[in-house]
This record gives sequence, C-alpha cells and structure tokens, in this order.
Amino acid sequence: MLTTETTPVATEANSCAEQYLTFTVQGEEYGIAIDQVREIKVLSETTRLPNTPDYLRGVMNLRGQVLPVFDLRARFHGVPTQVTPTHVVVVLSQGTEMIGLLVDAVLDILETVAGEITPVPVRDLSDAGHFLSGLVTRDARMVALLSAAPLFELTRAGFIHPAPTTH
Amino acid sequence: MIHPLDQFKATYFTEAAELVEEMERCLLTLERTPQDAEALGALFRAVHSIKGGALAFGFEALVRFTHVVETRLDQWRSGEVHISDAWMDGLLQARDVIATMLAAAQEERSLPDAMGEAVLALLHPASDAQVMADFSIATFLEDAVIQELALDAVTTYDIVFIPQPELLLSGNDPLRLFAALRNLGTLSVTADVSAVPDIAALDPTLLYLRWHLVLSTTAAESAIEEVFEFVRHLCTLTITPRVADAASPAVVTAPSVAEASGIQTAATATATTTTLRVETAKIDLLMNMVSELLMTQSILSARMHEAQRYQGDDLSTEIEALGRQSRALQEAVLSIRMQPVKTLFARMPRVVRDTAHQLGKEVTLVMEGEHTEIDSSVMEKLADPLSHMIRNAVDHGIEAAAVRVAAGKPAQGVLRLSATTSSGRVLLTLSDDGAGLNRARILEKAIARGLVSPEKNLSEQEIDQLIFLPGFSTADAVTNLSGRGVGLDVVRKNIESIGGTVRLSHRPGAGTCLTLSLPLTLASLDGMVVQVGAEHYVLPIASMVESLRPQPADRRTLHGSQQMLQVRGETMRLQSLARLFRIPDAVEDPAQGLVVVVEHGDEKVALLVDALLGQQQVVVKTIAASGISLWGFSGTTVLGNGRVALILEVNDICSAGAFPPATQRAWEGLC
Repeated sequence: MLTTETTPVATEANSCAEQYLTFTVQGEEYGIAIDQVREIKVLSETTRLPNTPDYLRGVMNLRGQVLPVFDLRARFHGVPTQVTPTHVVVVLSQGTEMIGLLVDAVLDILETVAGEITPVPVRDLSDAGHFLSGLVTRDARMVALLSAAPLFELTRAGFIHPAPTTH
Repeated sequence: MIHPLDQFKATYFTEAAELVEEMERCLLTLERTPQDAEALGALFRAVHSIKGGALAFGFEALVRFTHVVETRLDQWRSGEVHISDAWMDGLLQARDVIATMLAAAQEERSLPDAMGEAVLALLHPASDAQVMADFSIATFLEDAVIQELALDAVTTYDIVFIPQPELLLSGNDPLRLFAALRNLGTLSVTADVSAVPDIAALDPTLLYLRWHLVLSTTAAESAIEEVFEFVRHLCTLTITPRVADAASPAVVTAPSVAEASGIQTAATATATTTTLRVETAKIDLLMNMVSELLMTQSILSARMHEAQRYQGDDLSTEIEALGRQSRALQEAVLSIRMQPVKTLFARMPRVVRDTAHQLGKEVTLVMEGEHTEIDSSVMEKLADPLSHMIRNAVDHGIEAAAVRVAAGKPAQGVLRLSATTSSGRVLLTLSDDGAGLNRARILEKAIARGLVSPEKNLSEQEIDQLIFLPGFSTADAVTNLSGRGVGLDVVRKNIESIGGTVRLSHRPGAGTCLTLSLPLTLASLDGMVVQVGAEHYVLPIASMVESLRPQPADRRTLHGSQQMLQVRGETMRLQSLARLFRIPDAVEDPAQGLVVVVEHGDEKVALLVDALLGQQQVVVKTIAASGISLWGFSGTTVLGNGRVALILEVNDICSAGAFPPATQRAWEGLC
C-alpha cells in the first residue's frame, strides 16, 4: 500500500510567530529565518576555488572578509546560475562563520502565524528532508523553509587531504 | 558596582603569572648551582609578592600555601636548612600548585581543600602547625614595604546625576562630563534606562537616561562639583562621600603592596627596558585597519592610472607617497607582533628536566638565539610541537648514561635548541648528541606495522622519512611521553599548517638534528601575482628562484608522460598550473608563456603560467567559514582591485603529479 511518509520535522517555529526572509531560486520560493541573515549583498566578482563542485561558486570580498558563495540553483536544481546584475547574495552568519547563498531575487519578509508551518512531505531519498525544515502555504504561495545548519555544513562536506602521488 | 580593587586584580594576575615563570627559572638555576644567592633572592621575592597580593584580595588558600613556601625559602636563605633533591622536586611542585591556585582564583573557581597538602608535607615534615601559628595578618602588615609607602587619602563618592530631558538641547554632552570625572580618579558608571520610552514615542532630541556614578579620587568634593558647573541648573545632582571605615586603610594600602613588590622585583630584573602590556586583540584590529588602508591606497592608485594621469603630476606623486607611508606603517605594526623566541624557549628547560628525570637520564639543554624575533601567532602554534620534539629527543635520541659512557661519550647528553633568521624565514634547530637513528630498527618496525611492504627497496633517506608516518614508533612500551605513535607526523602536520617545513638529518652514533623552517609572520607575505587563463594567483616570493621564457628546444618528456624542462643545464619537472587547477583558455606551450622556477626542499620545479603581473605585499586572510580545504593553496588575500586571490602552496603543487588529486570524488561521495 502506498502511503506518503511525512517526517514530522521539529521546529520551534511551529508554536509561535517567526519571521523568514523569502527569495526565489529557479522560480521556487524559499525562506530562511531572519535571525540567521546577516545582510543581502549584490553579487560582486567571485574567485573560483579550483577543483571544487559547481555549487561552490567561489569566494567573494565582503568588506575585507573572504566569503564563500554557494550557488543554490546549482545545488538544488543541478543547473549553475547565469548571473545578471540583479542576482544577489544572502549572507548568513553563525557565530564567527559566514556563508553566502546566491539566489535569483529576494522577495519579502514572511511572518508566520502559529501552526502555519507544515512538515515537509518526504517521498523518496532526496535531500529535501535534509535542507528543509518546513513548508508554508499562504494564498497562492508555497514557501519552503531552509535550515541554516545543513547549509553551513556544505563547507564541511570535506576535502580529504590527498596523499601526494609519487613518481 | 565595580569594586575599586578589581582593576588591581587584573594587574595582579598578570604580574603573578610572570612571577610564577620567574620562580621556575630561579628554581632550575638553583638546581644547577645551589649557591646562586641572586637566584634564591629573586625566588624569595617572587613568592613574597604573590603572597602580598593574595592577602589583599583575600585568596586565603593561596596565602596559607605561599606563606609556608616562603618560610622554607627563608630558612634556606639564612642557611638554616640545606636543599636536597627531594626538596627541589617539592619546590617545583609547589610552584605548580601556586600556578594552579592563581588560575583558579582568576577564574573564580574553587579548588579541593586538600589542594597542595601533599606538597606542603614534602616541604614541612614536622613543624607545620608552629609555622601557621606564627603567621598573623598583623605581623605581615608590619612589613617594611607598607611603612615605606606614603599615600594620599582616597575618598569614594556616590554621585547621582539626573539630567532634565532637555539637557542635550543646550549642547551639553554627559559623556564629556564623565570624561572629566575620569581625569579625577577611578570612575564607574551605571546608567538607569528605566525612563526610556518605546521607540514609537521616543523623541531623539531628549535625554531619557539617568546615571549613578562611583568615583574614587584624591581630589576635593569641590572639584567634582566644578565638573557639573555648566549643567547645574539642568539637572538634579547629589554627591555623597562614603565614610571611610577602619578596614579601608589596610584595603587601600594592600594593593600597593602588590604593586610595590611587583615593581621591586621588576626593577631588579630588567632595569633598562620600558615595556607596555597590550591585548593581542587590539593589535589584530590595528593590523586589519592598516591592511584596509593599504588596499584603499592600492585602489586609488589603480583608478589614477585608469584616469590616465601621467607621472610627475602632483596627484600621482602624492598617492605614491601615501603608498610608501602605508607600507611603512604596515611593517611597523607587523613588528609589534614580533616577539623574541625567548618566551617560547623558556618553557623548554622544565620539559627537558622532567622528561630526563622520569627516564633516569642525564640531559642538559643549551639554548641559542633566544632574541630572534618571530610573529607571536607563529610562536603560539610552536609550543606544543616543540615540547613534543624535545620529549622525543630525550626519550629516543639520548642514550642512557651507561650506554653513553660505554661509547666514549660523556654521561650527560646535550640538547641544543637554536633560532636564527635566514632569507625571510626563521630556522629553529633541535640537535642532540645521542645515537642518531637506528635505520635497521626503523625499517623493521615499519614493516611490522604494515606501513611499508617488505619487498620495497628503500634508500637511506626514505627509511629516515618513515618516522614521520602516522602510527609509527620504535618504542616497545607506550609511555606517557612518546611511543604512542602519535608523534612526529602530528608535529610535522602542525608545522606545515603554519607554512613551515620539518627536515631531519642524523649521523648514526653521533646525534640527530631536526630543522624547522618557519615563515617570519603568518599575517602577510611578499607575493608575485601570476596570471593563468582568466585567473590571478599569488605566488610567495620566498619560494621563487627565478622566472624565464624557455626556448622550445628546452622542453623534454621523460618516460612518455612527465614534462621536463632544461634550465641552464639543470633538468627539472614542469608543472602546468592550468592543468592542475583545470583552468580553461590558458597558455599550454611553455615557449608562449612564462616559467617560474620554485624551490621545494632540495628540488627545483618549473611552474608554467601565462604571465607575471607584478609584486605585491599581501595580507593573508582566512575564509570566513571553516572546513573548506584548499588543496594547492595556503590561504587567500584581497588584491588591490578588490578581488579575492588565492595564495599558491608550493609544497602541494610540487608534490603532486601532473593532474590534480581526486578531491572531486570526496565531495561527491559526501554530499
């Protein structure tokens, strides 16, 4: 019998009002808790890090600090972003660490009411369950809420120092 | 409310930490030469000063403990008792206990009551009770140090300052008033924000705050009133002096005991140097600001060239002058962080002594070049690796006394630790006159642990390098010190992580020598900007030997695949950065591009780039998120045009084959 498995994802946001910054990536709406967002910056030139996956677009100069920028379209949809001057970087910070998320456009600040966030229906082994903490459906909009921690972990997906090849 | 003594507490702890270091130095000196009266005197004064401060701040356990130690030292000083080996151990342990107690007091932790009792027993077999009975605060306060001091009476005032909301409209700024009060003495300020309304109702031109100030000063009350003269009619002000009680003279004089004794010992130690204690955070901030300044100047200069002003024009001369001055400023700030390695070396004699004692060996440590300066951030990272190397040398390098004598060497082994600078690097060498490396045994152990296959024919150098492999150790039993096989590979990794290298050389029967080569500073380096395709990278100039455009005929291929280049009769490997970093549209033919020859240990390697863009001093920055491992690069920097550039790591590039290692797979596998 086919059943839809819903993984009840625990969010403290379920019980009280929370604010989320919403943005679009490839036509889909995402949201991230506003207290994780440090600032929103227009994308300036990134320096590519060789031998890294496409979704690590590179590093960018943020007032003297070197910020890694992740291309969310590449990571979630497999297609690298074709940047235009209107593309922006959402800068997240956690303690002393910062990362940048390259998105198509920033929309608005969504304030959720109690109980509005529903769990993410997980049907297969996609990594939706890994990155998403909940869903908000309001009017015609469906906003997928992102957890910050898995995004920070993208940096720690880990290079292993390779043993040098000998001749 | 801040107690007036708290600011002295911080000073006390810093000074006490230095006194504890001094104690160890003196004790180790006295162990070698027990007649050294100066060392004994310095030791006594150090303990005495620590006790004085402890008394002022009420650290009772510390007072009791230091008093016992002090009494013993006094008896030694007056010749009443003679020092023995067990005693020396006891005194060294006592020093450790004092350090622990100070740390606990600073962090406001409590320690078990029996702390130090065992050590006290070592020092005071019988007459402990008598010694404690003789000790009383009154006796201590009668000490000459206090009587020498004459102090002005300090009064503490409680000031309540309630300004009218319109105070700011008259152009008065409360902060200036407080600054003026600070000039009179020690001030603590507490603001009352209870009257501040919600932001919707807030009028930014009005003042909703009121303050409670506590001022300790020798000035008269009229001086305080004078500060508020211009706002007298715009506020409610009450100034109440606190009544000085019987305890306060002692309270007030006691911190000066710590200060005065501190000054005494400092004066006897270094009469000539004037120094300033500064928090490293402040210096780091200064460094950041200076590098931002340099970058702005660089951009300004670049814009100037774009606007096509010509040389000789006033504006361009001034901007160049600004560049020179900014670079000089950066060098000056960098030099603040340079510290003599003495601080690092100072801990090593104790490590040698403890290790040698534990193993029953006789070893002495000779140190040279202690005044060589090194960046404090580099020094911090060296402490652990260096201690480990020394423990290793005593454990494995130096033979037991009997073995040495049989080999015709003196029974006492000698460890030599020295520091020098050489072409932009700091060289630290640790050499011993021990037995060198036993190659047969090393090979045996390596095969036994599966680190190398038995059929492989290794050269002598390759066998030597085996000791740097993880999991290697020739010790038969795992001791507390070394032998757990977590040894030299961790040391080497730590050193390499700060851009250093470790080299080993030895002569069987005669000794081993470990050489560490370290960058002078982690913060900045002289770099050459190189172009590969559309990318710019920074190559450390310290690794560069030369650059040239080779002739087509100089190019060779070795054994079908390895690209080689002939440079002035020398043949070396040719590495293409474009291929290594998978950069499209770059120059592939060395004769069309440029080759930079770099040094990698004893080997020279030729790197193919498109062009050299110019020399620049760069400030090394770390990426804001941890965990991103940059194979092939040692760090990042921001160039004058505002773009991030990666700094090449010559070791990685030279150690690799022609293509980059399989890092891509690691990413795909994990996410």
